[in-house]
Amino acid sequence: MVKPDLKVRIGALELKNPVTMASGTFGSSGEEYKGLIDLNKLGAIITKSITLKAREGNPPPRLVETPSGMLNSIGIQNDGVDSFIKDKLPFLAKLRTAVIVSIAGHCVEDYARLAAKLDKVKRVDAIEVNISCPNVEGGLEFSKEPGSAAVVVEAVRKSTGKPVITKLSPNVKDISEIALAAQEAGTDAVSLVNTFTGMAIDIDSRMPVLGNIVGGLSGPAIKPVALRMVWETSKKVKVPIIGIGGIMDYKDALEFIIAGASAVQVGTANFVNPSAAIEIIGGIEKYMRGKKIRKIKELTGCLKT
Amino acid sequence: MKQAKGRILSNKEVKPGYYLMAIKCPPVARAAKPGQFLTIRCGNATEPLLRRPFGFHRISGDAFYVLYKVLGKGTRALTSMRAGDNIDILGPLGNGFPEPKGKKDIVIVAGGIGVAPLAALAEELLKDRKRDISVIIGARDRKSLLCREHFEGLGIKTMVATDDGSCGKKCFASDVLEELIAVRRPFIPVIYACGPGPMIKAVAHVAKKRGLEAYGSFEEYIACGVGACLGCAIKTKSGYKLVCKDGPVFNLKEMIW
Repeated sequence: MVKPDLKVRIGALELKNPVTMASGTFGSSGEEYKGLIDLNKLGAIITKSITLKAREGNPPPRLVETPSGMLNSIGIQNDGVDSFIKDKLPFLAKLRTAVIVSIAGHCVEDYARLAAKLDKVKRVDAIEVNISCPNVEGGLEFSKEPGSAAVVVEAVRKSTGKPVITKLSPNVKDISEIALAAQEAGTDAVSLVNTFTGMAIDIDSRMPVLGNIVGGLSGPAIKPVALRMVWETSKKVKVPIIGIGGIMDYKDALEFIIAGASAVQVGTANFVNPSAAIEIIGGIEKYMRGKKIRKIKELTGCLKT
Repeated sequence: MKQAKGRILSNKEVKPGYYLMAIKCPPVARAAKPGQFLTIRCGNATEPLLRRPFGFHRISGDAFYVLYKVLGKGTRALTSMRAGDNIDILGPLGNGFPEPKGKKDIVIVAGGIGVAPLAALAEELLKDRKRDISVIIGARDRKSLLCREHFEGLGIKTMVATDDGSCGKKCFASDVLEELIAVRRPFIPVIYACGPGPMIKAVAHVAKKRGLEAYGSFEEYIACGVGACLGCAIKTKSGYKLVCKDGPVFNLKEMIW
């Protein structure tokens, strides 16, 4: 049998395979992992969200493990867009994988300016608009209502010709409505889900475990809910969906693809097993050979109900 | 830094609730320096989920030891592993203890399970025979006192402090440090510490008062271990630093308490 075709399209962007690294879990450039895995095998690296100006991040403790998951409250610690372009992009420029830069802002203008700056940078293949960070004041506001999400997406759309991916929050009444609004506002794809807002308490001190009191829950604990959200959204939108939420192995990734995702993001699994994404790519390929599936695209949304 | 399969050579309880695991893993063992750490995936399930960090307790050729206290799900899972089992190792991570450049006198201050990485440090420092090393071990009680025989076996002066006085002096390790520095003059040692936060803070206080160079190994919850997730930040005078990548060893004068 010929080698299965794992290529997927996200707007104008073609990925060599559907396995990408989730923002915030793979550093600002992936350089931290260069000695551990072959970065060139990845479908894409989605960088840690950047903001216009540097952000210090939230007070520690910033993470804690919970049953089959973890809470984090990093707070988008980053050195700002200019320093990202100067210090981090040169490493990314040498890689043979897609580079998707995640942006976050406090107001619509922030997003527009970030997108405009990145639009001029050749090595940036696409922009992921993070309107769903639960750890920043106002970070979730834009993804709560279809109207406010649309305003951000429109502003970014006007500022760049690069493919735009909008990352959605699951902390909303109906995520598919937000996805639809993002689609109408011109996004090329939606990625879902970001983390679920949660908390943990130390019963001895009666204090929150996280310095920020609340944080974002990720990992296998959220997978069934994330999967359901991807499935529901896929029935409503036409743009490609990138599925995220507790993907630990190729079986998890395939569930998201069958539910309607064109690609997936691997996040928490990178911490558990740095080779997870590489193993997932191999696992999907083997599955396709076994089932005689030639193109991964045939699997997207093939759920039988 | 490598992710590699290690083979467990032995895993036995050395004191109630404390285990010593020997692991053969050449790529990690050969590169490891005292003060660096490794992470272990404690099973294949999603619970415990994250890898657990451990200091290198002793480093010897192709193998190393991990001395651990059974504290939660991760370490409990480790206790059930047997000689011959394979284990998923990521390491060596972080930076080791800096060398005591030119300084002859060394004081090592350990608290509880914090003694673990200090054994490797002592063995490394002893390679220079001119060095004068003292070790102070603090523990809750006699039952949780670790490594005393090990240090004494190396010919190192070893002092003990316990919270309940069941072994050594009834005081904190930092009190013994203070006394040692007050009695021996002139005495300008480099201090290395690992233990609970309040102990390191007390050591930092003594070092500052006497103008001594002091390093401490710090702990935080660790997710990635390689500086990618920014989860293990601690506050220093030059902003947030990552325990996994910038540490785990920090110069104590840099810390904010």
